[in-house]
Amino acid sequence: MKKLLYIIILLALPFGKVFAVDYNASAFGCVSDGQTNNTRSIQAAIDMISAKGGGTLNFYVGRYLTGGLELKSNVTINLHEGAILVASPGFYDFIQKAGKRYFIYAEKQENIKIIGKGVILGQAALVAPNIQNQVNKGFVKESVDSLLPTLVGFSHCQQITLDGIMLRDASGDVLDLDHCSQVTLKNQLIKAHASPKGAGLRLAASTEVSLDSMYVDVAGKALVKDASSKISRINKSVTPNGKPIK
Amino acid sequence: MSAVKRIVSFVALLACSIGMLQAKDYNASFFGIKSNGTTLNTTSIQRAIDYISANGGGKLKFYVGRYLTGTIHMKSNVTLHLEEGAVLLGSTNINDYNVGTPNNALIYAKGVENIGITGKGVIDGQGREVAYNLMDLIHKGIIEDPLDYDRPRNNRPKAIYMRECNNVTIKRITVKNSADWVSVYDQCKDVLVDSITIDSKAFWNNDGIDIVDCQNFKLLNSYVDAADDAICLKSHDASKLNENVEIRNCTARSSANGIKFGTVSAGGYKNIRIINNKVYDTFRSAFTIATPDGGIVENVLVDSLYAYNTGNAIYLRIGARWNKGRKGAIKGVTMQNIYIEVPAEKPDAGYAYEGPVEDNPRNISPASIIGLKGQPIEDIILRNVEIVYPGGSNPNYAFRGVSAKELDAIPEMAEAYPEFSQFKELPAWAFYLRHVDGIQFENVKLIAKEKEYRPAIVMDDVKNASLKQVDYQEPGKKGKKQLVLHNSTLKK
Amino acid sequence: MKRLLTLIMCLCCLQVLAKDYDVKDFGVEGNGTTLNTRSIQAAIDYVSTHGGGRLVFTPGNYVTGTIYMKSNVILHLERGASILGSLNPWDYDKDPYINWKSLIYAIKQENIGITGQGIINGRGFDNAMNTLNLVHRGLIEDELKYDRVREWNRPENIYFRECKNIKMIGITLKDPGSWNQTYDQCQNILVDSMTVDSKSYWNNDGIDIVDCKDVVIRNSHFDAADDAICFKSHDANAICENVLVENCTARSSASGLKFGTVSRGGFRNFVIRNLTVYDTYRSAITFAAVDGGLVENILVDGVRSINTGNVIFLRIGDRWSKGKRPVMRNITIKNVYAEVPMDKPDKGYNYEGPIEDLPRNISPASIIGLPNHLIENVTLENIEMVYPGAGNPYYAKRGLTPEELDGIPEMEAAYPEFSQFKELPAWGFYIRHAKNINFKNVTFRAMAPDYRPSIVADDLQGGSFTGMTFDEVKAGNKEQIFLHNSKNVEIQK
Repeated sequence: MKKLLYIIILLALPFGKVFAVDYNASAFGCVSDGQTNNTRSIQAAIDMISAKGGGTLNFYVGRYLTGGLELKSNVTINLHEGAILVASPGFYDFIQKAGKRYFIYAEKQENIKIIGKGVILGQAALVAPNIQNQVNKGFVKESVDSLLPTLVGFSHCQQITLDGIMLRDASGDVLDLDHCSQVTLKNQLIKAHASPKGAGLRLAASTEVSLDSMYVDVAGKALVKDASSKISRINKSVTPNGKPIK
Repeated sequence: MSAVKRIVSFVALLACSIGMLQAKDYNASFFGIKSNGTTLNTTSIQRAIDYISANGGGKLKFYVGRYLTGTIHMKSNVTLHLEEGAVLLGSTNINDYNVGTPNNALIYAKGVENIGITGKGVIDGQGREVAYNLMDLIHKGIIEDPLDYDRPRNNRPKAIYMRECNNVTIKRITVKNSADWVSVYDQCKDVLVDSITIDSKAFWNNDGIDIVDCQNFKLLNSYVDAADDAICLKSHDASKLNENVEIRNCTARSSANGIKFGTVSAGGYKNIRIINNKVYDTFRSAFTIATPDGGIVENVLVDSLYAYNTGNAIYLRIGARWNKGRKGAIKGVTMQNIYIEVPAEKPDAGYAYEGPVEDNPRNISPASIIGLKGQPIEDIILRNVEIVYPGGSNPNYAFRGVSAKELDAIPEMAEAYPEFSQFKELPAWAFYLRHVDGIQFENVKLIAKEKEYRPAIVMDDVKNASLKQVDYQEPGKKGKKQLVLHNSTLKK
Repeated sequence: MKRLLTLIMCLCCLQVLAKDYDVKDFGVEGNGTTLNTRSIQAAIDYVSTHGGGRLVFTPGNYVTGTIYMKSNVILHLERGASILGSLNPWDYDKDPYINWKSLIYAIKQENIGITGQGIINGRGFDNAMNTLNLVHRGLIEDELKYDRVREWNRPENIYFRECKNIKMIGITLKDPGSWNQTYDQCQNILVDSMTVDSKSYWNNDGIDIVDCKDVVIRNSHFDAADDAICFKSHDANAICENVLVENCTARSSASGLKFGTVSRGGFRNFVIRNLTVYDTYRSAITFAAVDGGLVENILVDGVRSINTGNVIFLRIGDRWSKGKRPVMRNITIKNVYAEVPMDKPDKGYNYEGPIEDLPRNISPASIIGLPNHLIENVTLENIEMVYPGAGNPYYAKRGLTPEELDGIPEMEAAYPEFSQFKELPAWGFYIRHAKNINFKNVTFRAMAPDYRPSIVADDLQGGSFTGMTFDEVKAGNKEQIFLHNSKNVEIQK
């Protein structure tokens, strides 16, 4: 049986891990019909690519419905223009770590990139009622606010690049960096109005963070950082009223 | 007596043989065609069509049930009649179609005449399953396909594909879930499509109906809901054109464009009448003409168009993409009695295959009429038009000023794929005109629901423009200069 | 038997569990498309940690990947509720402890169950196809057997391991990707009024009870592509024991009621009564001890076996015994009526039993031990077996000369199957390497003349045939019982 070249490359990969290998999401059975929940297919792809030494997982134009995902070292997610990672709104579909909830998450990983002109979409309007519902029924004890999932969170990670990706419709904070370093954020449109206190970028104990050409349109503060966090560079980054982000 | 007997028997025989050659109704079951939804009927249906065509023509009637089939070829003088409740079901096995040929469709016809598909039944291509199964064979290397955007570029079957056919009647049927374009009529003559329903959001490139280089084509009283362009006129052949096409009393919903000319437009379009139609939920334009491939567009009438929740109102565009030295033209387009509403939010939200979020950042795009330098769009009339916009643009998000320098900096993008959003931010909120010769606004009302940083109309390189009874409404902006002319002149 | 009664009492008295929860309250959607894996799991976890109760599925189609049952939780599927297995192979776990895929697991839990009139549909055929595709793409490793993904890489509907107090009542289990439901080293199992429709793919057993204790299966209907009601023993140190099967029907393109094939520990203290078996390609009842296991104290009372390829097959083999001594003894089979057809009995199954071991005429019921491992103390009482007869020696022949009878291979290491010896020398019953086999009031009918006698016994050490009736068309005074190398056998007509 003849297989596609990249499958062969995939199998041959352990011998040469320096090459950045491209994988199409469809090779792992991911579908962009907006209805099929791709969580485990995408996660399997990320895990496999990371285990084989790294590479790029390419998503092309379309809506990829998925629950929470964990990013792994040396894996680049390339959301090409028009590709959307759509958060499955089920209450239990998010990643849960240390009392916080995330759509896209990574912990203790390094060299992670999310690039391309695509979108990570939080579907806040569908997520919120599901949270309210679980709280009202008493199945979860936490407050609604503390249960709002952060769109993208990194914890104890190094060498993170987000370039071009639109981050939209977050339920809680948009991007959360905790004990991270060497973080490059650029050319991003961030738009989220669902949570009045939702921050655009929330930094805790994170250093060497650079912001370039960011447009951050959120209901809460564009940037929240604690004393131990250090931003190394901010360039051309504004909020909707044209004020630079500080 | 024996002579009389002989005559009688001769007459009887004659009557008999004439009867044989007359159009006749046949039940599908007569040919062993099964309605259980699992028996693959391709060869039985084909045998039936061949038989009917060879025996004087007639109707092949399908009664309530599910008839699974692969590609079938229409033959002259045969009508497929799907009674209410009958479903012609496309096989999910890609190998049951004409894979690897340009004739890849569930129902295919070429060079035949007097054919039809009628009745209140359904043609269901099961396109998503077909596409997924195809994708699988591609990934295993069994079928070769270069993939576009991680989807099969070729090899996806259409639901209906008719080429070079004369005298075609498609009536009352519903066509669903194609893996590719839903219904294509290419270089056909004397076609009537009446009272059909197209419901196809199953996969990528689900155009509703494609009319390609046809003559005397009538699309009437139909409802089209498609993931890609809903009603689409194309011209693939530089020596051919779409001529005498009437689109009347139709409703179009689409996550792309509502009614479109192009994208491929090699030959052109002549005498096209688009009357009393409704368009809604389109991510792209309600009405658009694109001629990037050298095609000539002339004598187009759009009368009584009602469009709401549409991402863009009107987009007319000349380009120079695959034109091979020929110069595309748009000349003589009258658009009258039109009402269009553009929303702030994405108008096609909820489609499985929504229009892609692209060409950002940009605020809501204006209606645009954009020719090329030295190749203006000519003789446009906008009469009794009302367009409602959300307004609320934010210059910090995306900005395009109206200084000469900024206007000149808008790229021509002659070779790009023509799309209302291709220039990203444009400097007007209602109409942006560039390279136009002869345009008449008559009783045009332009409404912005919230404040705009941009003027309503920007004209750049526009000659012979006239504005009569143009009314701008924008909250709190009385006295704002809503018309900006750059290298342009108004006709007195 | 007393123990069985107490067991039944126990199961009936299982306390009514705490509380009902509507699974939809946990955000689970019954729309047939939403993938509910995490929500259902969260619901199960919640109920288990809050005193237990029933998780109620109201009518709807609930799509899910692998979920784990937890103690004191009952999934209650109302009539009209279906749990549908996800069609994405990645949505299933292969639990490392079990090393086998399943839609619903329970591992070391107690007081669990699935009840109600609803359906669990594994959508196994599509799942198997999708898994096969991932194998072909090189994303899942599997060596394939018969061009199919191995059974452990396809999901079962149910896999419960080391659980106590299990109730499976009323539900329908449909279309698994592999075996259907496995209970492995569990205790106190009640299966009642269950419907099994398990014919979607290869290895679709009806129910597999592996090394379990105190099991009741009753009032249930099993229709399976592979064995219908199947007891196994995977662990040489464990055993299936104290089992009651009653008022059940079984249809299968393999065997109806089976012990084995894997039979390391064994099977002890079984009562099987009022069982109807039909359309089986293989045996209505088959007990195999081929891996060193024990089969002991088995009562089969009341079997109606219609259109089955073989009636009874008792077999000791020596396949994976690893020095352990296989034993089969103290078996009573009584009140049986069986009809064996001329044609293939499982015609029409998508996965029909394979046509194999040809040429052979219709195979007799058989009790076949090994020369040094005899099958002991088997009683067959009040039995009528109707055969088509018509054994044709020109098609396949096994005569009665010592050379021919001794020439039948022992095949101790082979997979045990009623047809494994190809042509056998009897049309009704063949006995070999057995001790103390007693037939009482047994009738054999052949609808057409057969070249073979009804019964052949070879190396039978003691036994009796009393009240025998042989009714073979045009048989005349043909001798219907033939003994070879046998002693102490009493024959009373």
